[in-house]
Amino acid sequence: MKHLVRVLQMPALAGLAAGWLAFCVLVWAYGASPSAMATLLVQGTWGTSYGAGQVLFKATPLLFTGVAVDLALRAGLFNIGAEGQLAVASLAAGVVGSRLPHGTPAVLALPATVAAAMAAGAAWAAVPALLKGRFGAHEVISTIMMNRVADGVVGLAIASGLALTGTVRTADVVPGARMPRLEAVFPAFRGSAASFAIVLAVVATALVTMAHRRTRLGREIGLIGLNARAMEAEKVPVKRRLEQALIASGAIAGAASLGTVLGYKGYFEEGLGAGAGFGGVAVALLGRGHLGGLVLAALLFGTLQQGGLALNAHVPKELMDVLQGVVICAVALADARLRAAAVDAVTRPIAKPARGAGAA
Amino acid sequence: MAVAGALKGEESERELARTRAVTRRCGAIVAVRGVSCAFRSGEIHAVCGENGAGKSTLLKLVAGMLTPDAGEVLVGGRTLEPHTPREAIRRGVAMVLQHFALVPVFTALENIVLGAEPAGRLGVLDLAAARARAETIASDLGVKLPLDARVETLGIGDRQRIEIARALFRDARLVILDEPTAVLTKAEASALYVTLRRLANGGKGIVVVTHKMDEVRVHADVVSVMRRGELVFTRSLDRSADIDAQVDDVTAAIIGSAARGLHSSRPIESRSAVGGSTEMESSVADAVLLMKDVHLGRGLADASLTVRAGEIVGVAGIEGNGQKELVALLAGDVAPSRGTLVVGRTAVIREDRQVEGLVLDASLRDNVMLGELDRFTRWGVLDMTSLEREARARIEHSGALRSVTDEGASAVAPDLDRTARTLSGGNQQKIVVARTLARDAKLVVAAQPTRGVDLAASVDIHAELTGAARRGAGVLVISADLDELRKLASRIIVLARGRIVAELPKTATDDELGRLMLGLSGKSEAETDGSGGATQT
Repeated sequence: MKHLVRVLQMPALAGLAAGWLAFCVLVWAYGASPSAMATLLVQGTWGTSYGAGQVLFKATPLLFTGVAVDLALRAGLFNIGAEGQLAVASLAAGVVGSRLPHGTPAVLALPATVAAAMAAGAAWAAVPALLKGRFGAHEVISTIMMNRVADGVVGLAIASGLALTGTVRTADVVPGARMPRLEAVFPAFRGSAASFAIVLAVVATALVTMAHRRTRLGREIGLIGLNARAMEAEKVPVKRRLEQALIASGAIAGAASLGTVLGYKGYFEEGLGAGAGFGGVAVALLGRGHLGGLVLAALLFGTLQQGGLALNAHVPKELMDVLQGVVICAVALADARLRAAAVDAVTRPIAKPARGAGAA
Repeated sequence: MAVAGALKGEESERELARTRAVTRRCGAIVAVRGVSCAFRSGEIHAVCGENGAGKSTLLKLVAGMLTPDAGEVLVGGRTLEPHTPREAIRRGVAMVLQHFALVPVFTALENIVLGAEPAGRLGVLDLAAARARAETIASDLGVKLPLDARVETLGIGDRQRIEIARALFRDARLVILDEPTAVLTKAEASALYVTLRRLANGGKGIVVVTHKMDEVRVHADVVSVMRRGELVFTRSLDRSADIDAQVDDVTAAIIGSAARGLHSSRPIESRSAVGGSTEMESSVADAVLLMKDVHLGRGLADASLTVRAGEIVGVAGIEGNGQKELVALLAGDVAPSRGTLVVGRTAVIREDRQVEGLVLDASLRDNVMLGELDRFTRWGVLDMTSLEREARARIEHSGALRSVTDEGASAVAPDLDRTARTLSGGNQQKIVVARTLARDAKLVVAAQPTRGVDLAASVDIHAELTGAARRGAGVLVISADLDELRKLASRIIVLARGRIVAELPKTATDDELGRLMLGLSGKSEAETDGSGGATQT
């Protein structure tokens, strides 16, 4: 608890303050009243149980991708590829979920579909992971590239027979593969698309943070992120750990399709869940490797997304994207360590597996 | 009082800088507490003290790099105002940091003029003037500077001279050097002191931070000792009197007790349990390391070496003569390209503890167990209780947290959550040593085990290594510090150009070892202080 407070202190406050300031200025520039818009924003999100449900719905994929990016970040890897990993995973979920025999019970259908999605995400991440481990290719570049490739591959797959003819969507997944909506248990959420995937997202986040402290793999990955050279000297298989971290990251990013394909639409269509991968980078940077921090960050950005819809009649909802960027920049500025990590990711030599902190 | 007044007048004429009751806090710690100290022209002033005693902080205050929380710094009799490095340099105080601040891809000349470029009209760089000036400085220094070589291609000795030339280019009158010999070989170090002496004789003031008592003994005119942020004493050394006794006083002041008496220049009987005769008799059967004609790329050739259980063998040599390859080989980082290598379970203390030995931003708990998590894992999950118990035991044994805490705090349970970064160099190294020796390896390889480590920690680390040998491990100590080798090892091998050129008993002199290290014959000839320096450039 003490740790949580310390972690969230300055940078998060700076981010929120800067975000609020930017909100006021932008809304005012559009000729609307900041206070009125703020009221509307709160009402449209946490003001009603439907709004709150929608926030949870928006936050679900963000939390999954957030913890995925976070896991890679612990190893010192910037996984910018959650976007592509999720796209491929969503396609896999849609295809596998719809091809199961119709009466498959949920205990089989749901795990099978999720496993397929996570495997697809992992496979997509495995390419940059192996390039990194074997050849030292810079993961920022290869994961970004894989996003573009994912766009193409998903489009091609949709066009070449995986979709219903004449559409860009797959068939409906079988009922057993659907993620139950929250409204099924809590009637207050009626009408919102929030599903129990949010619970799984929180569980996944908890597992990752716990693994970081209490498993050998997690601990070693974390220490590699802090100083790979020392771990190499201690004969820890650094390259393999980096590969494992990035592949696990891809699998978790793929699990975000729980909230979109399985919890919301019930099928995959091109573009479903787009943006969640990049949103996850923001969540990871703000959440800073902490269970509570990650959940709060996902809720914050979920609120902004949903709030943008509530304000759309008065100011463009894209304003919220600007806000999101401002928050991240402010957090990064307030957090020297984050800044150092970002600088390192950008300036690190591109073709070398381990960065050399060579003495003079 | 007339005499005192006259003396004072002369004193102040020679005085270049002085601190007046300066105090500087670093976080919760008072790094420098009420220190008043004067630095004069014409002398080499050594500042000694353990790691974390406040030496660097004090001198950074003088050089304007840090601002005092209380008290003031006077340069040339006036308060340093504004308290910035720029102003300090303007008034003739320059500091050469432990980690050089040179631009690797620039030439020596470009580095020397950087930031103080002589410019002609329209700001055009006057390189000819710069070169003439740099050449004058080089001749003042009595060295030849490779002005047109890119710094990245130069050795550490050259880089250091470039840093000093840089200071002189800015008309520095007081040159402060923070542990200038920490990374130098003996020969380079004596060459450096020849240069520094020239400067002092030419009227410059020289301040040197050092851990090495033999340097103080031979080269310092004045010595100041810091302990826990306070100036314990300042005195002039008188070489016509018993210098050993004076240096012993200094050593005692550094450690804070006279009891430990380990004057480095005096012969010290081996504290290792492995006496000469018993070990000589032991056969190859108890060898923990057998190397026969081992080659490794271009770094190591025809290396044959045996280390037996319970024995400490020293490896002397100038850096870059095969030590790195030897360590990599024994650590199992690489396989020999040719030859036979038989080695028991090996634990290695790596040379660069901050890069390879520790994860600085991880907890002490993690650092003391680095790379051993597999032993505490079941089904992938860590056994936190026994991990914690083991880590705590190791840290307590290491003593790393004992000396950093003040008396009051030492009773408190050690804080295993603090990061390795928060420890001083000596205590960081104690963590590395504790971890390495806890593994009960047959062979312990210690590369530069006490480099940049203060006296008290060095004593502890030496005791640990000796203890490991007593428990039956073979220990290979690779060090640039010949005193350290003589103190620990029963025999010393010399590496030069990737070959083991000699094996000497621990009674070998600096001169013998030095000549071998330089690839000359081991026969002692006429020795002068400058000869080593002349050869190595």
